[in-house]
Amino acid sequence: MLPTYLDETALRSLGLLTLRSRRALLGVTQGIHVSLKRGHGIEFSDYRNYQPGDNPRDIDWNLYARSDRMYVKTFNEEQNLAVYIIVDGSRSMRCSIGEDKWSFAASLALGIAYVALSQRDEVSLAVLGAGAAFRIKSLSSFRQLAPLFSGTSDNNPDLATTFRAFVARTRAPGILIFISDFLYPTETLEEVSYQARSKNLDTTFIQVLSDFDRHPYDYPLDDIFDGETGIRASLASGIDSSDFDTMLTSHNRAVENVVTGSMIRFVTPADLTDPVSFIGANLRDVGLIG
Amino acid sequence: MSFLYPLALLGIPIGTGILLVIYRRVSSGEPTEVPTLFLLSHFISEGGKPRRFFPPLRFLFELLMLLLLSLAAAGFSFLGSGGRAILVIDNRFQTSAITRESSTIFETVVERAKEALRTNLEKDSVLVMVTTPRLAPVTDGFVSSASAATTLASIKPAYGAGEIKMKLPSLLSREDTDKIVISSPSPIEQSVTDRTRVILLPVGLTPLSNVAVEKMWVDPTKEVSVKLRAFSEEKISVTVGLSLISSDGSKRSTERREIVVEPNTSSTLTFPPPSGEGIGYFARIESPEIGPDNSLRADDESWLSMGRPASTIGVVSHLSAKQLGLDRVLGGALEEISPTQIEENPPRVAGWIFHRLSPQRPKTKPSLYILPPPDAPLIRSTPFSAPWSVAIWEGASPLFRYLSPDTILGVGGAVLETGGAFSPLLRGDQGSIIAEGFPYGTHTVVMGCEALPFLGAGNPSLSILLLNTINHLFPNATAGELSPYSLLPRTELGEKPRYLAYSSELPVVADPHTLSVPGLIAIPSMDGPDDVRAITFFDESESNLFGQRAISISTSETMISPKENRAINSTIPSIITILLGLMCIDGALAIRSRSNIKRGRA
Repeated sequence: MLPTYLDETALRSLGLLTLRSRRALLGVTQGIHVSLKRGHGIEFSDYRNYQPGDNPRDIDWNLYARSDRMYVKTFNEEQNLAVYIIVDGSRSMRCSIGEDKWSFAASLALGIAYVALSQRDEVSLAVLGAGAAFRIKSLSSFRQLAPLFSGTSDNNPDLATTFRAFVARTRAPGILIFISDFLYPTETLEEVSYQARSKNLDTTFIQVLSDFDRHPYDYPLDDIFDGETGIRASLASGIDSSDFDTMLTSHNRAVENVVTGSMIRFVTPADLTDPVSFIGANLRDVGLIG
Repeated sequence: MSFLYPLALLGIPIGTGILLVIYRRVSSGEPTEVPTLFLLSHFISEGGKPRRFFPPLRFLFELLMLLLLSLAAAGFSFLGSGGRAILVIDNRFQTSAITRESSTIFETVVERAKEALRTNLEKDSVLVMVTTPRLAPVTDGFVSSASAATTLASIKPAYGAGEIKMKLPSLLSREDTDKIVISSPSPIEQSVTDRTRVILLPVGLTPLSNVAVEKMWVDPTKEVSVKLRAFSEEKISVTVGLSLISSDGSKRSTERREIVVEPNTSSTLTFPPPSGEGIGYFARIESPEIGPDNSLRADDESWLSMGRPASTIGVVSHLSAKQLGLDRVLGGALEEISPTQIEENPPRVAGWIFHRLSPQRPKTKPSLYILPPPDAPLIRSTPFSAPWSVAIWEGASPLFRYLSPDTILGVGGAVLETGGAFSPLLRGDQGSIIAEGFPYGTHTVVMGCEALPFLGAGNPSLSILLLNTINHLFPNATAGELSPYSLLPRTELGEKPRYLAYSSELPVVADPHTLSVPGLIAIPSMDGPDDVRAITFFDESESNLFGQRAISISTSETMISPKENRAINSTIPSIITILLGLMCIDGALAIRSRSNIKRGRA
């Protein structure tokens, strides 16, 4: 069952959007994206010397008249793209204190998948930690993705390892969208970024933070425990709001430095109220949506 | 500050403990899952340090509610810092007697009460009650001892019987008091009960001499007779004045006569018929003055109406009045009527006593039937001899004054067959034995037990029963006891009687709700001019200041349900109001908290 955010109206508006890559990539089948593959596209690519066997109709006769040499025109083919959507499925994303991050992340992933499938791209969606991955090529199979988000996940998945395992299985370069709260050490993030870059993926990181992640000092908590590690702790002495704000800003800045150095887009929704608007507006601003 | 049930205060520490445990368990007992400790780890407290409890606002509200609830249950009161006490002032008319110190007994009673308020009851909340004409509070609930002392000034002796023992059980059953202080000239035999401490204030009276008007009647020769009795060790010489009461209530003195009354005996003084028209007579002992020989003025007067031959009671029996002993009861007020005369030419009488006989037609005057025959046309009875047990005992009936079911239990008699107009006052397991009713509008009492002949002390239970019945049915037949308004025949109470004449010289106060002042009253009549009745006063036990009867308080006093006597604490409604307000606020906080949770906030 689809999240409540993705009703018929939302899906119709998402169907009008297009997913864009920042560079031409080699696709698998015919699509709407300009591919690196030369062929019979509509976008001129280059000239090359005529060779026996070439179709004489490809010879540029005007150029032959000026240069007395025979050249043929080459075109880039339009192919589909491989879209990889990875969602951090750890307990930290599923914890609902403050706001429901998981529901927002699921809506975001499914919304982007819908955009991609609408333009006949091939979508691979994986939930890290849950061992769930699914690849579909047709919009008619879109609803098969939703059950991925209803399962449980490991308490403490090794994010870098599972990410690397998923990336290793990618067959073609494409667009990678990674949705997480990125509340872990930057070393892990550096490894993840490296994996994405090594596979020549046009990567976008979307950071989903709940109100509790941003303002934990607004919540009167004493005894707490980390859902991922199971560590129990006490906040009896309270949280200094200015200290925490400084720490969060510093961490996010470090994350941005890592990802931008790897040519990765990084975007954070201001709130978790409307994933559809976020796709249509914020992802358009960063160039992922055209 | 005082508490009705201090044990209920235990609810405060117990409830607070439970509330704390609940809140600590809810707020901190189960840890809350957070997404990650990645950034929070800098703010985590070191282990082993006791956690501080930060109570939310709602906890404070609920704690306050608990406190108020416990205070209300404990019967919290601001009044006094000690316990709760009831101060009973014995204000029966007997206390208006003059002592040898030229003060009244009542003044001594009040003085003792004031001393008690200054000493024993200084820190207590006090409820002041009077005994006469009925046991009733005179303060508005429990007040401070200072307010109670102020109230004492407004209390005066009142007409009414002084059997304080009869009124004690309802006092002793009250649970809202720690002690009962009785200021009374009667000595007390036992001063400790199961629950309540009873303190008798020492009034310290010496026996007083007194002379009283025992009875007054008009002879067939129209002469007025006044019977006097002296309660003293020596004979007392007195002067008695007789006045004729006019229809406007004014008194016209007719004659004064002197008489010497022997100690502890009765003497009768006869006055010739006074000239002129009047509606009644008023006799008063005018000499000697109130003092050592005549310490009580309240019983020095008597009233007699001429509006009806109230002193004439028709006695119908096969036996003579002397054989029945009724001459000792009714004196000159009885008229012997033969069974044949009752049907052929009945005389005009104020009431009827039928002994083992019954008329063919019902009488229109108050009637007493004693053992009506089995074949009587109106009221029948069926003799029985087997032992019987009491099923119904209307203890509040004036017929059973001074009596208990045990005293009547042994008598034999008959089971009555009465119609629906009667209600049983005493019913055995085999049927009604004494019944009262108003058949055809006539006040009627039927006895299934043989109360005659009147033997006095020889058969005390039945004698008291007979006297009570005669006084109840024929209040003017004897110059007897005070007849409160509520005890007058109901058929004559269609409209409230009004006083035509009464004595305003006596040091007593009248209860406006009862006919408790001696005098002449006019009772509205359905078919003619107002009926004039005399309410006079005599009670030997009250006039006799020579021998004081002790008040006996035993641990087995009849207890009335505590719920009936529980005082309403004026503080509790205020506490309950605040409590309800707090509950509303608490409810609002609960709704707000729930909506916060729905929005995803902790």
